[in-house]
Amino acid sequence: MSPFSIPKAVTRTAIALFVLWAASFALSYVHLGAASLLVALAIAALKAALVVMFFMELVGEGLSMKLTLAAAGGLLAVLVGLMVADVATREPPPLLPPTTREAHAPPR
Amino acid sequence: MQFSRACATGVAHNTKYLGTLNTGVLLLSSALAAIAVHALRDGHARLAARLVGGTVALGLAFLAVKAVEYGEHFDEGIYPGGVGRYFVEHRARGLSEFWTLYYGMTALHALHVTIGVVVLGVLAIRIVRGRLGREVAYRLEIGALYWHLVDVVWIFLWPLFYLA
Repeated sequence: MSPFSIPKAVTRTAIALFVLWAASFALSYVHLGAASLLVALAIAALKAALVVMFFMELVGEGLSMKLTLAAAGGLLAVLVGLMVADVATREPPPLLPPTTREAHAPPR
Repeated sequence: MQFSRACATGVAHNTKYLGTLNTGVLLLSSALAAIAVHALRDGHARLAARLVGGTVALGLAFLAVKAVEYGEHFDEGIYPGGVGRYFVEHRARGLSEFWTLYYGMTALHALHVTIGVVVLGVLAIRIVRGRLGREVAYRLEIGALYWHLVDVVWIFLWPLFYLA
């Protein structure tokens, strides 16, 4: 039996994942303000894409399989996006109905 | 935004090093699982069994670190649902929601890690006993796919609860 050698794609993916892991950790000490979460999530998305494409071997699958996963990911993004938009626009909490807003207004 | 402020406070208070260590542990375990699938396909059953065993060991290490992490939070009086002395001393709006989400999502993830450890453990034993070889390597492939999915979920939980 021929000796086993690790496929290059797996080795390169593993190295890339650990580089991104270290980069994400290092960037958490850089003050990026409101962009810090977006940057961290963008790196996470890149890492997830690497795992899905090369560890889960989606790269070798047909277009139908890729589209199925993209649709599922897109739906998840829409649901999470709507939830974030809901929370982000609730200011000042809690929302009061218009009829009771005046009753709760601070005295002038 | 009060929720984002509370979220930042919660993240700053979280056990960043333990969360980061656990991310590295899961990434390494995923790499071992991916290599194990290739090894079994090539007929190197003994090597595949060792690699799957390594994945299981790393999964158990992840759960151990998670237990230490929860223990530290309990010592500080942080419990789900805004219960504990931490929430008496820190009254900012949204902190209770942050920590409840933290416990809910990480505990659900840990439950899936536990399931993965059991599944991969059974597969490793079957490889060692010669009941899972290169002809049916797809069975290990399915177990590894599940493990990678658990890894992908943690890849997003890590920045949300420990970094940003």
